[in-house]
Amino acid sequence: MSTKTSIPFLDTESAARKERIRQLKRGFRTFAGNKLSLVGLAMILTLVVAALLAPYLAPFPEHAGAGVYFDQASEPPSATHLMGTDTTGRDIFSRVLFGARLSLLMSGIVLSIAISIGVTLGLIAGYLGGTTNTVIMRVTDIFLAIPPTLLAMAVVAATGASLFNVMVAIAFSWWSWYARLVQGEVLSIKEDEFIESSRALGSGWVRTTFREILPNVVSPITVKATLDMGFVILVGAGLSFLGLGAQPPTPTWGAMIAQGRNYVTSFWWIAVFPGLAISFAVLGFNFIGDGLRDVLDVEVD
Amino acid sequence: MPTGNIERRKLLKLIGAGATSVALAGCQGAQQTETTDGSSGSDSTTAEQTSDGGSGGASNDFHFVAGQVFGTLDPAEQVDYTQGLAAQNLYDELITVDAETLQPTAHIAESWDTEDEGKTWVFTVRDDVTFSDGTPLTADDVAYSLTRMLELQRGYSSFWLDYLDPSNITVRDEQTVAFEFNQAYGPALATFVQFYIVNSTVVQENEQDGDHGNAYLQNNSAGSGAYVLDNWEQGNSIEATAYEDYWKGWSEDSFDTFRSTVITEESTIKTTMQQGEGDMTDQYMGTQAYAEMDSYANVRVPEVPQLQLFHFPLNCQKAPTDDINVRKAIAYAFDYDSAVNDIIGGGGVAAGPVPREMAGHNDDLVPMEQDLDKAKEFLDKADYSVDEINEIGLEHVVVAGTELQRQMGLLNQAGLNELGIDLEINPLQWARLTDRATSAESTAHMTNIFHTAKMPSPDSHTYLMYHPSSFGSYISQSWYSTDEIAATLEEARKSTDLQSRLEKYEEAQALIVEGMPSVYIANPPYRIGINENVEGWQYRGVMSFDWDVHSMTRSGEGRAK
Repeated sequence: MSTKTSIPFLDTESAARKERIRQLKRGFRTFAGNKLSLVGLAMILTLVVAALLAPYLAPFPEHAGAGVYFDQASEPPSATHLMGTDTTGRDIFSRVLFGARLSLLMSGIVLSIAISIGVTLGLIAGYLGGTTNTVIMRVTDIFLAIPPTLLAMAVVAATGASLFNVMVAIAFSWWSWYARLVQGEVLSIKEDEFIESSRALGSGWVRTTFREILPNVVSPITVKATLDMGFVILVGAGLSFLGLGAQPPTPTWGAMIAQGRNYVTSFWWIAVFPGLAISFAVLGFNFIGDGLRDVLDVEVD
Repeated sequence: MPTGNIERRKLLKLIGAGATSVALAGCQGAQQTETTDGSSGSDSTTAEQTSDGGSGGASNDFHFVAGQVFGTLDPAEQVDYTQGLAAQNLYDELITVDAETLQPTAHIAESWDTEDEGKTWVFTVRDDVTFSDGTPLTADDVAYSLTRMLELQRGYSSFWLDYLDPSNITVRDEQTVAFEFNQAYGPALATFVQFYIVNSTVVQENEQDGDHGNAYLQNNSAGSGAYVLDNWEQGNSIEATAYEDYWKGWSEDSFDTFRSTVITEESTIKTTMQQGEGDMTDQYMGTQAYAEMDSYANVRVPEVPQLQLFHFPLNCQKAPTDDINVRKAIAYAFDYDSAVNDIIGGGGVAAGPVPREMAGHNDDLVPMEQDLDKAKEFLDKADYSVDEINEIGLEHVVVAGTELQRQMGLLNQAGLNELGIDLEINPLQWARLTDRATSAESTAHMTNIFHTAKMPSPDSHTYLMYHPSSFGSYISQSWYSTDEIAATLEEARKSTDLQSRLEKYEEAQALIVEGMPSVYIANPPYRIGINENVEGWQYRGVMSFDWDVHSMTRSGEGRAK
């Protein structure tokens, strides 16, 4: 476990800093020792760069918006159109790049919401215990019992299909995993001496949970969040595939696959490249998450 | 815990290696799965092939691949094309459509006459028609079937509800029945093509809680049609066997059984046809699908002009499309050429609401053309600014799932984008769309609609769309009419002389187009996929009538592979 630097008068400032640097170095070595993690890191960096620079990298940035180009419809991959064009003549490579933006944005926002809710509830439930714990954790159990895709579908069906609604819907079904994870972590450390010292010094439960406990449960949250980035992309793509995501002409990967599925026998590239993009992102995040877990030495499953 | 880690990493490596191949193979794999669960009929195909090789009594099976579920099998409720397909093969209509002239012609009624200045229609019923249980079809059955439709008030009953009271249906003798309308009703003859006759004895015997036998008719057929229902799995398939004593007789190569399976994925439909497992498809797939099927050696794709309008009704009772200048701007911003040539791939741009091939089309009307300058002019004149329109949010509803519908939405979006208007494309399931069409508030600003002639009369594309009494259906989503339009359409219906009736309808078309209640896009050609070994198919002008399996025969040994 990481050192408890939260009681400053027991450590000198410089010793703490040295210890932290040493830890970082050791962490990086462990991370780099696992080649798959490096591959994952490279994959995700590529993805992030592609997403950030999509308007500059895309050969036809206007193809991500409203417009039809029937004179170049359904062309196979070529030098002009690296991944071919779809049935309305739009460049798939450009759309995949813009799709990366949407996917990363969606994952980021979904997990921010899910983590905010889940971690807060988990901390409160774990620390306070008793009836509060029972109520929060039983609600969490109910949410955990429903498959995330199904719950998200129900929410989107009720609120209408849009990218924003999809993000809210997925977050709505995702927070319970964090509540469960954090509550378990809190239970395992709340009887530790540094918590008791903090309480002895007179801090209230809010300060204790958020200032003393939270920094010590960050590691498992980080690992789980990294792994989840990929899964959220997957669920989001699933919803888009079903037509519940962003509406046309928004280039989400799932919607692009849905459009191409009628043509797999004749124009395979329409569905295959967005599909590969999804696999790429999900795998990348999994590799990184795996490496991080070794570094931080936590178990999240 | 360490073991767990290693296993997980191994798993990830495996996934990494497999992902690419899975992604590539996934599409193919998914398609194969769909073929198996999509057609429960594949088993019976094998069975049929076995019996083909057996004794002389070879079974000859007709397989229609439907892209949409069968909502009901009660002929009094049928409105859409799969329901029409079932009714057309299990029942007989009083009047049918002639394949050459596309005009109403004799069927169960062998002759007719009008009395009382066109108010009373008297039909003489053939004496050689029997129902599938062997009992003869008489005037009583005709009277009962129409009364039943008027009392159920479903399906096409609205053709007669306002003009005919059940008490005014009289049976004069075994073969003669008279309908006394409350006014002269010109299109009456044309409307009776949507009137299917049921066996009154059987249906009355199976009535439950005053349902007029509706529940019974979902699982049994009680008609005089060429086929008798064996089995209906709602949402999946129907199966029927030929009725030996059908009054029109059978030829040696006629089909012994008729079945239809529901397959909604275009790629699966194409594969089914390519592998020689289907005889015929519907007409609602993307253009590309028909081009592809045409390239298969064993499938032909006939293309004929059809009595159909494809358009976007503009909701005239909802801001901002309640402003005629906004409507005109939208209509001028649309790229008609691209819609007809790139998306529909044939036919022509529509000229007003009535399809150009239909008798009674006003030939003075000219097709629209894209003109962005004009569009901007009208937009400047409008009561709403571009910002206000964007604030309200223009909504375009398309039917979810089909390529053509989606592309039309994108094309409209591209045109309006030139004017600075943001268009929201909203794909909806058909049921949800018809639900929203029931009130002006819930109807979208514009909706993709295919409107196929429901009867051989321009009434179908005028009265049903722009008379206030027709509002609330998917056909009338413009919510547009004026007193003048309504009066002209009513006069047309009252007129008993065909020529003067058609003139009235032409007059009405000119009045309607002035208000720009719709973006009239195209009169798409009719295309379906047909197995090469099916003979005798003929386009009949009215929805589903060309799928009368009795009129077709098998050439060669089984389906062409």
